[in-house]
Amino acid sequence: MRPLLEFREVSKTFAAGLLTRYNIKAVDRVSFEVNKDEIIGILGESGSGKSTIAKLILKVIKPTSGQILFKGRDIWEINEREYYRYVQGVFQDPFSSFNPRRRIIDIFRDTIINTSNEKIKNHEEVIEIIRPIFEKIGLDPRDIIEKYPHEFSGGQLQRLSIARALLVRPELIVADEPVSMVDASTRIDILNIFIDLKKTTNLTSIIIGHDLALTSYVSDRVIVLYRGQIVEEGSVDILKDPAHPYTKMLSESIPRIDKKWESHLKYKAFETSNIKTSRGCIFASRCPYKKEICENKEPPYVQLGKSRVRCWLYAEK
Amino acid sequence: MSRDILLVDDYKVYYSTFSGAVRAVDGLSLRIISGNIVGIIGESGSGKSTFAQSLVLPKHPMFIAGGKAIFLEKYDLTKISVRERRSILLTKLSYIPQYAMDSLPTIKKLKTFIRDIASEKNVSYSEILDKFRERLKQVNLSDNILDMYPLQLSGGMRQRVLIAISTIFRPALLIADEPTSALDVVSQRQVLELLKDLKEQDLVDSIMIISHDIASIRQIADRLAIMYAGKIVEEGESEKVIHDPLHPYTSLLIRSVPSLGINYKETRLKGLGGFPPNLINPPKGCRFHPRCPFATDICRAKEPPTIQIGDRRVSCWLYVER
Amino acid sequence: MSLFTDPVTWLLLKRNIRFWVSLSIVMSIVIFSVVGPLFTSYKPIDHTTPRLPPLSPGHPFGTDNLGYDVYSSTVYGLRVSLLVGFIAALVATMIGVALGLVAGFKGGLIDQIIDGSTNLLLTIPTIFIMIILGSFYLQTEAVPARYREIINILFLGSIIGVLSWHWTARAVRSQVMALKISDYIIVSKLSGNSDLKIIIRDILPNIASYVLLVFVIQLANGLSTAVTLEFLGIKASDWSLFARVNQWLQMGVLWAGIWWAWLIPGIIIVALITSLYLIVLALDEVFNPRLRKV
Repeated sequence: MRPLLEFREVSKTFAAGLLTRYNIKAVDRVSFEVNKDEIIGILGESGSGKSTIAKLILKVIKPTSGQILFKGRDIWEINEREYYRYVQGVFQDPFSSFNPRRRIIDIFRDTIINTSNEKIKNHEEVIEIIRPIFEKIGLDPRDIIEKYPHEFSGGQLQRLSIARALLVRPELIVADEPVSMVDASTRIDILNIFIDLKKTTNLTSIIIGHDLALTSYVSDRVIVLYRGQIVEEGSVDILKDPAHPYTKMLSESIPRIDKKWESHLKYKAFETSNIKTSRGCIFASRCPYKKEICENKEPPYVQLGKSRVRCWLYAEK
Repeated sequence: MSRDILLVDDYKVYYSTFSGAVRAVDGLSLRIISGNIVGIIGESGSGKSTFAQSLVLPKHPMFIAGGKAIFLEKYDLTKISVRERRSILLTKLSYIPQYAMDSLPTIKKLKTFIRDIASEKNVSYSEILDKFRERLKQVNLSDNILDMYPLQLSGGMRQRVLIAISTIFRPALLIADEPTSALDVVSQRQVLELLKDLKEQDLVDSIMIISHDIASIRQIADRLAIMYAGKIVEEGESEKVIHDPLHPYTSLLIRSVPSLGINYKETRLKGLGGFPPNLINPPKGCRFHPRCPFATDICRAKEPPTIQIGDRRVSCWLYVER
Repeated sequence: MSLFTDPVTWLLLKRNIRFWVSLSIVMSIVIFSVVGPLFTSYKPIDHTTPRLPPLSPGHPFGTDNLGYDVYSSTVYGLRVSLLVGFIAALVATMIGVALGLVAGFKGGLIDQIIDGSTNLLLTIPTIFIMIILGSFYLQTEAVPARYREIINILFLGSIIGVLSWHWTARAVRSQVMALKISDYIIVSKLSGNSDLKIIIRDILPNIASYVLLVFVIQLANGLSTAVTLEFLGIKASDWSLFARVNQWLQMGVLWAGIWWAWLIPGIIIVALITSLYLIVLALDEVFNPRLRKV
């Protein structure tokens, strides 16, 4: 079965700096596959390149090198009108995802007019078209008529974002931190929408986030990103028993609600002083298990059963 | 000597807006005793940040609409004069506001910033500098950051600098509003453990932490107070509140924080549902009733009283005996 | 933060005294220029008793040493200057906003071309070009006198406008570039909206208040440029007010003691331009969230 979406050695470099230009490699030779009907969780903290990956998938920015394929076709050879029928996106901040000057119903009407060839005129027709989708997100379309974005709560707006994305019946949705700016008590409900959609409409989702527990709840497979590289990838079980030291560090440092932290923290935080232009493993400067080879040579990807890790610890023959 | 560091009673803080008064804090009662770390947990619309800010720097359009807030058993923060407030700020009562780490003056080196504080507090620069240097060691930062600009430090480092500054004078109470949001996971843990260490070393007597993240705050908090729609709905020892929540909101909140390792294929979780309350026109009766699975008629009609159960408090009709 | 949909903004504006005072001054002067002529039977080219002081019967602003009535000169002259300034502002704003929108949104080559034009306009002394173009065209006697004034006004206003849009374009461009990276623009693209639709529906309304501000600045700028040009002899009608003021000054009117001839029009025009700038300040206070004293 051909994968739905494929990243092949994709890199994205940004030029930065005011006086002296230097390059930031936001995404560094990332390769992965997304199959139909999967929920992929991309786990990364800030600076990991996760938002860049979302923008790359949504054709907001172009890769510096590498290829992105959708159903085997290079996405930059598919025109936007067609592509956005297959692939849609949801963003982190619900309040900046809507034009504050326009009513929600008009924003929805846009998508309908742009993607079908009928001239939809009045609000009644729009409501009828969006009704089945609104059932899936748990809102009543009558509640949105005439209202402006600022009249809704973050959680409601985020649901509306998802509904808008679903209007074209896409095959793939990319959600960049969809619940980070939403109240904790509503997060599960929103993640459940993606899960239900997988079951009812065979929607494939890529959910990007930084919260280990939430990613572990909603994903089938997980990709762990650190500073632009994939350091570990596999089924969601890898989060329970991580192989890569970075994933281990995340899993040991996150606060668990049911119990207190055991020992005192033994990891180092990320400081800009420990970016060395290292030729070795990007995590080496913070890794409690580092060896000499880690600082000198980039580790290869090692297959561990159905998952893979990029770490010298597992490369011993 | 278990004195009251802060005693808040029926405290109300509103905002005047064009559409009416927003009742951000509406009848809050809380007691912080010496040596405790208290976590105020709430989501958006709970009023927690307003509460923190109103104790320290109430500013228009915020105004105190009623109640008392007695600090150190002698200062009434609702009536205190500007001069008195100035004198206790930083020395006895310290405050780290929510986005503080992004508001350090960017064009000043840290040592210049310290000098400004010294002149503001009428204390000698060298005295403060020495104390600050000591603190830096205690927060695991090296001396040479004094010559740096805030931009050169990471988020976690800036937060630790702020914590160092706010404990220079060994305040009785440090109020920290969302000290760990926008930090990465390891820095979050560092900052929280640091706060606890400082308290244990007596560099600060008690700490009030405002947060929406119950899982991280409970790691260091002795007591937790859960806020909803401007009031505290439950308060007690952390362990008890987490493992035996009394108020329906508390238990729903705890259940919507998944533990690592739970996947939807095995267990389906449910969130709270509903929408955050409208603070200009809050619901009648118990403010949580529109979202409460146990709501009954009396919940919809009358606000519940606060019930004392041991050293725990809860505001819910379920616990009122008929 | 728009005046047009945000009730808070409107309320703040209602309370802003500076705005209403300045606006009244501007409106009074404009109304004066419109109805002023009704109160006099003299035309600016009529010769009457010379050297009459202000408040003389029939000559509220007096007459100059050649016998021209200052009041009618002022009133007819203001009309012309105001019209020229207004047209200049209109042209400059339309061109500037359109180019700023396109440059900011599209970026790339188009942006560079527009940027290049902007730089060009900044470096060349536009006032000289206006003088040259003005002296060339405005001499024509081929056009009948009735239409001559209108055409000259339109022409002069357009020249000024076409040579002053660069500031507006730059300002609009940076606003657009800031908005362009907002999530809702990306979402609009994902919804299938064309670039043109996005510019008109998502960007333009969100910079509307800014455009208003910029228009008022262009008004003040256009007016002062129009007056300056008249001073230098580039005038829309045969007798223009400020050309006359210039003559008066040159004739030593200061020393001849006929101070009302240049002072009265001078005060009026300064008051007008100053009030316009004060309106801009007030609008900025109201629109800019950081300056608000809520």
